[in-house]
Amino acid sequence: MLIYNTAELDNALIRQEADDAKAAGVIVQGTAERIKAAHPYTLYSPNIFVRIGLGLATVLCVLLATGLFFLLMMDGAIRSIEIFFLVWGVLAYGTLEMWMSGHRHYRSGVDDGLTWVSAVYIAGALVALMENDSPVLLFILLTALASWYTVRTSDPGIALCGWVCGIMIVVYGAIAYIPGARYLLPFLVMGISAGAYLLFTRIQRNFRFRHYDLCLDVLRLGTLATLYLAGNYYVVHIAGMELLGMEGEPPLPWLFWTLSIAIPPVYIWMGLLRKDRIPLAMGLILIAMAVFTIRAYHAVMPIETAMVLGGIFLVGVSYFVHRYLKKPKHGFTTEAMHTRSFGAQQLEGLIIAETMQPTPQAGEAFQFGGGSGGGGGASNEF
Amino acid sequence: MRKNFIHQLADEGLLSETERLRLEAQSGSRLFSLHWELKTMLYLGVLLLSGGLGTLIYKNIDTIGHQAILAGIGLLCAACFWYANKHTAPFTWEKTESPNAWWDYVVLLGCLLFISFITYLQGQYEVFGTRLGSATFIPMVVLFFCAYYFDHLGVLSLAITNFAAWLGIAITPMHLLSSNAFGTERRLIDTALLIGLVLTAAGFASGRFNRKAHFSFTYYNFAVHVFCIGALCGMFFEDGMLLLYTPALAAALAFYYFLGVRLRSFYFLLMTVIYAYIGLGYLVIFMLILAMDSLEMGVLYLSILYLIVSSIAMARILIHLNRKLKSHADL
Repeated sequence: MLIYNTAELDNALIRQEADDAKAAGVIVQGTAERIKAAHPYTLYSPNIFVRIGLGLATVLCVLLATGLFFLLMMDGAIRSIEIFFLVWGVLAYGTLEMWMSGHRHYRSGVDDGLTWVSAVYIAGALVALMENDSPVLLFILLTALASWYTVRTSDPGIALCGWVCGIMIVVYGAIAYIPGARYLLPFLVMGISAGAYLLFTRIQRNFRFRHYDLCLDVLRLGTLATLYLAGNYYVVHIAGMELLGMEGEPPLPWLFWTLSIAIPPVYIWMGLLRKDRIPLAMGLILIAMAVFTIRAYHAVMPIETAMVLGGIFLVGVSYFVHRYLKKPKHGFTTEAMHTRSFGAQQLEGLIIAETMQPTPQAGEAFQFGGGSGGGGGASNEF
Repeated sequence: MRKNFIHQLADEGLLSETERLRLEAQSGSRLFSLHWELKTMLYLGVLLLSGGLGTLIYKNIDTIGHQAILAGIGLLCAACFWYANKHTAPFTWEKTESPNAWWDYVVLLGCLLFISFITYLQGQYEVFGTRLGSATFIPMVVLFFCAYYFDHLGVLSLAITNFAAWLGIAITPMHLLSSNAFGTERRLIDTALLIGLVLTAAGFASGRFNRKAHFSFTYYNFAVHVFCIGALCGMFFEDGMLLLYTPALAAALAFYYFLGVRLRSFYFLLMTVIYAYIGLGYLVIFMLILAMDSLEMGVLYLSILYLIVSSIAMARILIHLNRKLKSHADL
């Protein structure tokens, strides 16, 4: 199904797992070396910087080639600009398929660049062509397009776009074709998200789908996010006003308030119970969303008090977890699984410098603000 | 390891019987690391706490609670430094490993609170006088001291950005282009070049004299961006100064290219390629526009052709450089 050489991708997985097993001391050095000799990996998968560079160069090339032809064919191209881009999108996709069958690339930037350029061209042409048709049909086409790309390239970003378009089919379809949709819509989206989450989780455990691991991670994050958002009081309130023209408080307020506050802890609990990083991470992110929802309606306390209390809570929780897990317990540890990477440390330093600037920066007037950076950065979440 | 792979490798005779059994036992019971989750919580906690306390001081400036908040911040800050000092190894000029992520953020919180404290004293009573831009000078000294004493990369990054702020420009990634009006004042461009030079020298000295040699990457990293962006802005905005800023850019690129080769760091090679690409592209299109009178529409076509050819060339150079440093995939 993939455009890549799957035997080689298997070898990459085996080599990675052999390295991990050796690092954990389960197999000896000699075994790891014999495994790697028997399973060579020859696809071109350079490091992240080359990948970004090659990706940008590829995108630039296609864009400029399109621009050049657009200038040359100015008269015809302007009259049917949608078809022009559709043709170029299909051409770029054809190049991707041909390149990958001939050249031995995997995640080299060239394939990413061609994937995204062709997908954006085709999707943009579809959006422009279907301007006057029903959005349901458009989203069905976009979902089909994204699904095809996902199956062929296993690109996680495109998989996520596909999920969002799929949810849009449900939203617009329900409004257009189901009479009582205004009351059922949140539950419909929640039900479909929950079903998709269970399906993707089951698929991910299946060995056959091993090359789609990252895609399925992202899709599961997406399903958990839409499940929460569909039940969130703020989202239901705003969407009810914007999409359905409802006024005032949404029906069943107590239910949506319960869902807004209870779902993030449930995700965290699920993640810890199953030792699954996806619901755990989503639950932690959504706590910020829950706090935001509460603050959008009830000003419980001034922002700086909330920040101090939130900070004390977060630092306190992590202190107790650090103390509790000094020695690994119940299969949990606070140590990093792989050795601490130099790049991650540098990035951490940069993020700290960017967000925690405690003194007035050049270009800002000196204000009695001590911690202006910190306050500004966090206030969006509270 | 996945069960199917264990079977496959065992069938191929690559695993001994004990190794197969151990792999199967391990795939059932894996330790689950909460490292990054906890680290993110700590980061957000410290961000909220330092920002919130910093704002609290000024919001309550005329109330009775004011003194109490100041005293509270002072106490908390002292407690952070006491704890950090108690759990750190004695000072050396070598790299010291931090005890754990929790300790890292205690040091950071201590530094941030201390600076809120002295910034307040300075703003309210001008304790340290008004010369030398002391509002940023004193925090800078404190941050550099803490960075070296506790061997902390995050505090070092804060110190470096503070150094630049003291000289008048912002060099954090998001503010480098947005907060500095490089186009309006030549002084700012020259300041950026000066900061780039000083930081490069600091990075070089760290490695050369073995004083916290692992800090040199952080110095170089800020330096290469500040210097190259400064020089490029000089080329773009300062009329008639092309002959001054182009050689400056070329010299910096040459230095960082050889540095990248010496450190086997692909990151610096990539940065030199990107900045060289921007500089060269500007020069070529600048020349083409000068020839506008004779070429007319040809300028547009030639520019697009140049961009296509040069982006392919850049891709080839990147592939070549990557092969050259193949063994080193990280920074």
